Order: sequence, then structure tokens, then C-alpha cells
Amino acid sequence: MNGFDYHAPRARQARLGKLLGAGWFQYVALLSAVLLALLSTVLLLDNQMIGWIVVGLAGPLLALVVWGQYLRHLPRGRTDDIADILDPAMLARLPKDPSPQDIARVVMSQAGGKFFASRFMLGRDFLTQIAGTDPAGSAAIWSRALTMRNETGELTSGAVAAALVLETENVDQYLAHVGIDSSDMPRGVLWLQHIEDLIKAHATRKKNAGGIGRDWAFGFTPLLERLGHNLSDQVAAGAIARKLEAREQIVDQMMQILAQSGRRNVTLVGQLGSGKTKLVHMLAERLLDPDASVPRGLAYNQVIALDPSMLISRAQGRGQLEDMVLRLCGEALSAKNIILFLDDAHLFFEEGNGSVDLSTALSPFLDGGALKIVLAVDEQRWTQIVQRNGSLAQYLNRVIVAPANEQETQQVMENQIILLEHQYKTLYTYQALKAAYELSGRYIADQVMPGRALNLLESAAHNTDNGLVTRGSVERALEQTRGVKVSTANTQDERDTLLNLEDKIHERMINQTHAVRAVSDALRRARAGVRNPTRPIGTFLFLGPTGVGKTELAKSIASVYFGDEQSIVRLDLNEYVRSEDVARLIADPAQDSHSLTAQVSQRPFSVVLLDEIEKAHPEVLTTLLQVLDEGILRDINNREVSFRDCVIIATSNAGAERIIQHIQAGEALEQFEQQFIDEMISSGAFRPEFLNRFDEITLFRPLDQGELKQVIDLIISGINKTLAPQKLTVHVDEDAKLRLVEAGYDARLGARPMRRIVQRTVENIIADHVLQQTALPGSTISISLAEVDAALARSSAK
Amino acid sequence: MVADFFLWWYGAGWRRAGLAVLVRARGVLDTFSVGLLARTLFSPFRQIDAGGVRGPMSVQLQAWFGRVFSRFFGAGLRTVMIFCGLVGAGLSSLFGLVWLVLWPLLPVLPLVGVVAWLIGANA
Repeated sequence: MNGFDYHAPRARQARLGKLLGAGWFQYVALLSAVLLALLSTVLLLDNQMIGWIVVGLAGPLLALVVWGQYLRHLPRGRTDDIADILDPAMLARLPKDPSPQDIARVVMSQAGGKFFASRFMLGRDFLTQIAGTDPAGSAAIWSRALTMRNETGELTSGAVAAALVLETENVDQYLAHVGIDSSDMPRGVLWLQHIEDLIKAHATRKKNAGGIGRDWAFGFTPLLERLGHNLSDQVAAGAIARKLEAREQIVDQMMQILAQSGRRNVTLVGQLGSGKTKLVHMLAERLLDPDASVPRGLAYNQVIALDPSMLISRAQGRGQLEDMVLRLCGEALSAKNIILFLDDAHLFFEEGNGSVDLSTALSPFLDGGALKIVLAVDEQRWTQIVQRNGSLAQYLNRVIVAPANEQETQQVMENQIILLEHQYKTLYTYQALKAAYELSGRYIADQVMPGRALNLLESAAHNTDNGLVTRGSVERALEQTRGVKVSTANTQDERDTLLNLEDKIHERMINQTHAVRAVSDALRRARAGVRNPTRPIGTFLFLGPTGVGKTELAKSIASVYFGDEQSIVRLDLNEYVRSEDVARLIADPAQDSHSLTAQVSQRPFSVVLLDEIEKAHPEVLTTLLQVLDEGILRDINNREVSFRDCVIIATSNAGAERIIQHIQAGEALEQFEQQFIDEMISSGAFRPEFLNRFDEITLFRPLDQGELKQVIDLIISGINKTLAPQKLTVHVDEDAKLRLVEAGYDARLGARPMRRIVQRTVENIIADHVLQQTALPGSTISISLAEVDAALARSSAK
Repeated sequence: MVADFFLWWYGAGWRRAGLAVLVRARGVLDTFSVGLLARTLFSPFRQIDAGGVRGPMSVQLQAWFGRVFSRFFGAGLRTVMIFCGLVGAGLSSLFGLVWLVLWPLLPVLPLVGVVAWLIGANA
């Protein structure tokens, strides 16, 4: 039956359970039974036989208390009818022939409704407002809810809440408002189920696993207690974690190795953030509450973590450190119930700053097999250990810890936020979890899942919106910690800036409107959230003679869009003319902080300016193709560096003479643009597959004298900004400016000599005025043609 | 509804009550680590050199005596603890059995009371 039967036996029992199971009823009935029993005792002692009747009344009261407790937690019935599987608290509250609105009202009083209202940001009244009043509409809701039953076949209030949402007309439109879609609702049902399971598990958890005499057969461990952290104790005091299938398999593997007769060491090898430490916590938890799968020799074993860096810092010299570590291992061995855990174990296997090579001292313990020990190292360090000390690597039983997939990461986050919410007194929304996975995957390259998502979630706790950690909190946390802009433009100022980008850029750049528009369009697309997120924000090739504004445009973008002229990573590719130079491009940040990958890791949100690209070696260009295509470049350690939030600008002077010839022939850029690009390909200056990778190939034309005068204006405006603190202003007469253009004009060098000529004339004249104290604060220094001529004559005489 | 109650009380409810008695008794045994202590009855008691001692004969002999003492001391303490656990589990079971015997009487206790009153009044 696919509907709700109000008169079904379980529905009746649930309604009765609401009364008999209520706290006040239980309390009153129990108290009455006790009082009746006491009264009857007094009466019977006084030989009054009426006491038998009084005690008789206590019996049914007590029976009702017991039955009420059962009815409050009614188990599911035998059939799959709604009344036999629905959550008893909901069942007790549903009216006869409930309409969708009745169901919504009941759901909102239960955990499921409250969960979706807060965690999914749907609001308290959302369900009751969208639900219809026609009882005929309920069948579809029940039918949808049945598809989301839990593992035991019960229908929870969460599943009904999700069904109510999904059966709404225009559901995707509603959900889009809060940043989710239909596929997220079943995930929410599972999350709620997980929380309820955790609460149940916590309530039934043994308080003292193993009992009073658990450790009596094992040795004392005073040194380990002093220098180590008992993870088993931490786990016993903390929340129960969800069992993750893929991770449980690794824990099983660890237990097999630790219980075997040979080398009982496990070396967890995985990238930073892959969850190696978490696996050891899971092992500690399994051993504390051993089931049939736990080998008898490991049951109730204690996992004690040693911090190598702490031990190294405590010891005075190598000898003392060796002695300390040997005593710790000896104590663990004698105690028989200790599993040692060394996080960052490479610190004991290499000589260096903050690390000491103890492999010789530790080898007998690792090879002998008596000591149970778990080591954790990241992949790169493991490779180094293998290369440096092959025999040591042979002793170690390696277990690979792969990064978590999306589902596992989601589950790990759901586990972890219980602690974070307690710690930061906040509430995480589903949207925040989704954003943490999505954005950390995109922007945090130095860790893998689930670690990077968890770290981002924790940072987001400091950016709450009214106590809620939302998608916005996660975005802000990422913007603050990584210096990237991930949120769509949302303030009026920001929107104005984007809509008027061309004007802003032209405040510091003359003409080249075609190039400016192409770049501005790309930036607007990016901030409106309509760009391809798997590529850089924009990739441009600027072609043109020297001094026409190619580099200036790159700087303008850095300043206007990225907020700082310094947000620019500049590479002169004429320094990358050999095939070996590819290695310099992707060098390890620790060895070369100026490599392209190192600089972009530091500034993932910036303009990458590749100057004189035509001079780079073909292998360097091939390496850069990947960046243009996918927005990713792997460094020498095979770590991904994302260029997806960069604007990549390559500049070249190749064919500059041809551009000048075309312009001098009176042609407009648009007329010869395609022909010019074809010429570049046929002349072999660029390969077509390279040019095709750019979003835009933009030609810059030489500046005429009128434009150069505007350049002079920009330079003088810059000087005025510099003089502002001294309360001085400079004014240059128009004919003097024309004279400056005339003196500095060079068709081959464009605007480049203009700054030099202004420096030699205008700035020198100002300096003279200031030093001779003829220019006082508040005054304007006017520079005439005669003064400019004199300054020019003086500079040429030198 | 009354039938529902009686069906549950003399069927599933009674079974559940019986199961709860067993769970409680087992919980008492676990609290006193009875199974674990019985398995390790003659193991040394919490000594640091349980792994073996190297050195001259006198030192090894001393360690051997130490271990033997530790084993006997441990066995004594464990026996006491096992005894406490068994007594606790026994008491828990006893109370449970009383509850299980009283269980079928509770719903009909008014009738029992009336009968007892009649007998008492006529005596």
C-alpha cells in the first residue's frame, strides 16, 4: 500500500506511545506505583487487608511505564506500508488523510525538518509554505520518500522532508536560490542518518572498554606516558567516527601486519592530507572495542604517538636522542600492549635541520618484528628513504594511502565538523561542505583530499555568517588564506569596477582599445562566474613593437583587477633558450623560489607575463602549452600548480616591422590582423598549435605623436602624485609637451623614451625649484617651452 | 489496544525483558574483565621487565623470582576480581529472574490483590 493508513495497528500504537512514552506520564505513573507500593506496605504491616488491593493497583501502572517506553521507540512493522516503516514520532502526529501541508507541519517538528531548515538553509517555514493542501498530493510524497529509506528499511523524518522538497513544482529554481540542486537532497538524508547513528552509538558506547583489569597483564609505561600521546585515550574520550569502507580495508591490512609473526611494522605512505594520522586513530578505535575481526593479540592494545620533532628538540645531542628512543622502544616492547606511532617518521631517517638519522639504531626493532610500530611518511620522503637506504626500506611494510574520493571526503567532513562545531560554537551548512570540497580541490595544491577540504572548513569557522558556516564563509577563508578571489562579484563597487574596466585601464594606458576590450571581456566573464573553470581566466598573446603598452596593459590588469601592481609574475623568456631551461621553469620552490611554478604557487591569483615568448626554446613552449590548455603545470616534484586563476599574457616583438609597415601604409589593425598572423606562422616565428591555445591574439599598433603627448600627460600626472605629500603641483605648457614628444620620439622604441625625456627635463626643473626654495608648499610649478628647451640643451651638452 | 498490550506483554515484551537480564549480567562480567582476567590468570602483573632480562646469573635469577612472584600476586588479585565479577553478575541475574517471574503478574496484579484481600479478610 502506497499511502498512509491512519487506522493501522502501528499508527494506533504510535499515537498511544506519544502519551504513555511522554516524560510527564512516565514520571507520574512511576511515582504513583512507588507510593502505592509504600502505602500498601504500611497498611499490610498494620494488618489492614485493603493493602492487597492497593499494591494490586501498582502493577498495571508499572506495566504501562514499561510499555510506554517500548511504544515511544516502536520498531518497524512487518510490511512495507507507510504506517509500518515510518518514524514513530512522525506517525504519532499525522492526522487522518494528511495533506502535503499536514505532513510538512509534522516534519518541521521533527529532526528531519529542522535539519534541512538549518543545514540546507531552506528556512523554518519553507516546507509549510511550498506544500499543497490537497490530500491527493501526499501519495507522490510517500512514493518519493520510499526511495530514500534507510538501511533497515525505515522511513525517517529526513527522507520525508527531502521528498517534500523534491515533489515541489520548480524545485530546482527554489534550490538554486540556496546554492544546491535536487541531487543534494538524498545526500542530506544520509547525513542526517549518520548524525542519528552517531548519537545512538555514543549513547550505547561502553564507558570502560575492556573493564577494570584490562591492562593488568601488561607492563607499566612511565616514559611513554611522559613523552608520548596516548591516541587510544583520545579516541575513547572523543566521538565515534563513521566507518569508511575503503579506509577500513586499510585498517584491516594494518591489523594483519601488526598481528603477524614477522616484521610487525606498518609504513603508511601517502601525500600530505591523505589521512594517514586519521587511519591510526581508526586503528586505535577498532582495538578499543574489538570485534571478531580484531586479532586476539591486538585487542585492547594502546596506540601511543611519538612526535619525532619534539623528541629531537628535547634531546641534548645525538647520543641522548638515541638513548631516549631506544628506551621508549624497549618500554613499548616489554609492556606488550603498545603500538608505537611515529608521524613524520622521515625525521628519524635522514640527517638535516630538525632531523636525525636513527635508522641504524631503529633497524633491530623494525627488522626483529617484536615491536609493533606504525610509521607515517609522505610519498616524496618515502622515495628519498628508498633511494638513500634501500635495506631500511626492505624492513618496512609499506601501505599506500590514496587520496579520498568525493564521497569519502564528504563523509570525513561530516564526521569532523561535529568536533569543529563544538570547538567553534558554530553550525556548518551543507553548502559549506560542498564548497570546501570543490574549492580546496581547485586552489589548494599542496595537500590532497580529505585534508585540504578539512583545513579549509576549519579556516571557514572564523568567517561565519550569523553563526553559520556557509559557502560564503568558505570562499572568504580561501580568499584570506590563499590570496585568490573565488566569490562572484557581489558588491556595488566591484560590479562598477568590472563594468568600467576599460575606463580604469585607460586611466594609465593610451589607446590600444582592441586589446583593452579583449582583456576586459575575459575578466568580466571570470568574475560573473561564466568562464571555464578548468582553464586560466584568460590567455592572451600581445604582438607589437616595443613601447606601445604591452607590458603596461599587463601591469594595469594586475593593478585594476588583482588589486596590486605587484600581483604579477614576470618571466623573460629570452633567459629560457635551451632545452635544459625547462627544469628551471618547474624547479622545486625550496631550491629556486623564482621558478614559474614556485612564483605562481605563492601568487595563484595574478598576471603571468611571459615576455619575448618567441625567443623561448621549443621545449619550453611545449611545457607552457599545458598551462594554456588546462591551467595546470606540474613541478619537478610532480605537484600540481594551478594557473586557473591567472591571466596569462605572452608578449612578442616578432613581426613588429611588418606592423609598422602596415600602419604606415594607412591600414587599420583589423584589416591586416589575420594576414599578419598567417605570416607569423608561415615564417616559422610561431607554431599554429601554439597560437591556437590563446584566447585572443592582439596586435598593438605604434603610437602616433598625438598619443605620445597623452603618454606625457600620464607621466606628468604620476609626478604630481609623487609631489602631493610636499603640497606641490606641476603644470607643463602645451607647447612644451609637444616639444618633449618631438625630442623623445623614436618610431622603433614607441613610448619608451618618453619617461627618460621627462625625467631629464621636467623632473630636473622641479628639483631645481625645490632646492632653491622657489617652490613653496601649496604652490604650482609652471614649466614653459623655454625652460624645457633649456633643460634639453643642458642634458644634450652633458 | 488492550489486546495489543497483552500480546506484547506476554510475548515480545517478556522476551525483551529476558534478553535485557542477560545483557546486564554480561555487562557486569565485562566491567570486571572476567573473561580477560581468566585468560591471563597466571600472567605477570604489570611489570616492566616482562620482556626478559640479560646479565649475570644472579640478576637473571632475581628477575625470575620477581616474575614468579608477580605471576602469583597477579593470579591472586585476578581471582579476587573474577570472584567479585561473578558475584555481581550472579546478583544481577537473580534480580533479573525475580523481575521475570513478577513480569506476568504485573498486569493482573489488581486481580491478585483482590483475591489476597478476600482471603485476608475472611481469615
